[in-house]
Amino acid sequence: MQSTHLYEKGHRWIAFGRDPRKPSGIIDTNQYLVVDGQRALLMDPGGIEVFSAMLAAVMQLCEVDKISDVFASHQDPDIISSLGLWDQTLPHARLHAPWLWEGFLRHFGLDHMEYHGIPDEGASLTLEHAELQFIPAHYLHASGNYHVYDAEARILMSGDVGAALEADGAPLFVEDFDDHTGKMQFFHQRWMPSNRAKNDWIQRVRSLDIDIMAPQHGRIFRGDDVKRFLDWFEALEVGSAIA
Amino acid sequence: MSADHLPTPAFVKAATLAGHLYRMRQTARLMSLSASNAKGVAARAGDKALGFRPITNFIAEMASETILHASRINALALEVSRLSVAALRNRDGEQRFILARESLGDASAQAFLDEQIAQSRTARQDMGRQIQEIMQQLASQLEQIHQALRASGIIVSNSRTEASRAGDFRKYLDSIAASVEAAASDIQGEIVLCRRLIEALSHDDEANHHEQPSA
Repeated sequence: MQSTHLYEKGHRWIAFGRDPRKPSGIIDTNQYLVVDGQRALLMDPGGIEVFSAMLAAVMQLCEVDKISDVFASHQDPDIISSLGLWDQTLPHARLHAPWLWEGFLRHFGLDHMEYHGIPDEGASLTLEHAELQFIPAHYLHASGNYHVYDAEARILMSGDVGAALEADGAPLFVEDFDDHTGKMQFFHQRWMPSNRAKNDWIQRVRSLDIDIMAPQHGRIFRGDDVKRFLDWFEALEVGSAIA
Repeated sequence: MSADHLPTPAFVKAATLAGHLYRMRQTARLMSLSASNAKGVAARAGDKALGFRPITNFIAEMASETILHASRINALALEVSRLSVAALRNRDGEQRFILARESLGDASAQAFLDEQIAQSRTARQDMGRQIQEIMQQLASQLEQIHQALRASGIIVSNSRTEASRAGDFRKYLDSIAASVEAAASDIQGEIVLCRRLIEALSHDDEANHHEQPSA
């Protein structure tokens, strides 16, 4: 599992992914960690199949006892089916996840961690100093769904928004936005169900100061590519499975 | 059981071990960099650092051996962590087969579940054997790092002696000796922690090896 620092000023943002030992046939995922002094937040830690590689990669950069909080943007298996194992690894941690999905997420096994249901309007979490906001992203694609925004680092962890379907080992960052849209179009048109929800999210996110937009699949957007993405997404009709 | 009293799972111990080995490898890389710097300083110092040149080769060799063995152990530790997770999932699956079997009255369905339970145990015994083999390799590789570092005290001491003869270059060579000493000390500290983890993992493995069948 590769790890890449996205931000290192006071607190750190680290992206994990591109695991060369990932079993074939499962979609590649990006996982994220914010380390702030003696506390850390692990975001969308991934499916059960990537758990071992992810745990080892995290522990190269952060003592496991420091991980005080875990975030699940929604309930999908590639997001959090490893929950039962993280629950044994981090029994003291709190799980921040949509209130809507609590009864569903507990099916993955949750005996020790405390479940903090995020209300529909969102919430915030302060680690030692870093303040992270859980931004509502309902219906993008799950009916209870949040992204994580860090105003100091100017990073938005955008879950499935900005995701792309790519071959294994693709670069971590978007280099040619126009070329990249071809890898994103089907994903957004098919998995995102609501144009209204999409436009509501775009309006909310345009008011944020963002240098890096970090999705859970595919490549990370930097600088002007963030605005290019928002323009592209705004123009895209989603919910394509309806004939 | 409260979270404070939960035993640390074996896969967490193995991943912690891999984390220590990663840091050990990073420290050895710094030691290797010190050796390169030392070679550069020794070359610039000419005759004044004649005795320092062969020492730089020892430092480079020590760093290189540490990196090699730490990389090998890191891969082994990751494999132990992966196998420990697989064994945990296997055991969890077996418990669920057992619960399902207990709630069944149908003999043919029970026979099917008995087969699943037996297969789970066989697979887990195989994992246990693999873990044992890897643990032996882990201990052996760690010992090789320990052996490679045994000479570090002598190397640092000789470095300081040679540095004292290097005139204007003394402070540079002293600083290199100090960084090698610090790196060797850090790595020895990591070795102590790694040995403790390997011992703890061996105990876990023994306990698992002798676990009583649940049904």
